[in-house]
Amino acid sequence: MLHIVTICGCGMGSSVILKMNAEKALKELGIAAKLEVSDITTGKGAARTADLILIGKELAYLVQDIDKPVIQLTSFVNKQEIKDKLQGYCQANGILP
Amino acid sequence: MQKLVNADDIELNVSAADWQDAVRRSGNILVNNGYVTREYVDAMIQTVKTLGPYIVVAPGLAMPHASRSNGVLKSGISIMTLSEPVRFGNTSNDPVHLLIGLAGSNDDLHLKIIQAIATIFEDGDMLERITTCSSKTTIAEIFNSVEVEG
Repeated sequence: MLHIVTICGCGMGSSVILKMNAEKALKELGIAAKLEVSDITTGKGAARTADLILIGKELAYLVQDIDKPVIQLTSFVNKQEIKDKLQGYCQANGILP
Repeated sequence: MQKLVNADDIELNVSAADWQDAVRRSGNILVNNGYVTREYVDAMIQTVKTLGPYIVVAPGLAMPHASRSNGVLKSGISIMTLSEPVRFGNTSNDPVHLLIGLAGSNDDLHLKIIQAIATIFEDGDMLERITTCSSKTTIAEIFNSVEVEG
């Protein structure tokens, strides 16, 4: 199962919205995934065990040094952007045809 | 159903000099309603200074907040529209017309509030609807009537 971690500054605002919208998008895409919310401090640890990181574009610099695929989002509430980017990732990695 | 937002949580057409002033004002609403301490408001500003303008989570919408440990007393939000937009330095989502200040305790209410925000702003027209709205009651109703998926 795909393991995704969503990261924001405090792990209580935007990353939670991101997680909810990513869950909806993954459900629509028919992909089973485990999602986890994290703040930037513990996020780095969580990210090392994850398959994929979702993060706001403005915070992406903070995970630069982590050797994991990162999807950057400009809007946390635009479900279409999240869905398109997740779909692109899954297609590129053979999770979706 | 538990109310997520009351009219007291909302201020409309607020005039703010810059992003810091806007964040402070949105934080002051949280203080006045007993959700956070004064220190929390400073931490809201510090979060942006430290991590950058990522709290502008969508075009026109900022969600200033800090960590729970910075002085959250109970979960709640403030909703503030600006008479003139301010810039946070977010390349994708500036300028900001609406601030939703967050105070999140580790409880079910906070989760419900976040779910409501995520659901409300899935509708791309909602930001304009709220920023042009002149009734606090109507805005509170938008938040309180949202159907949140279990």
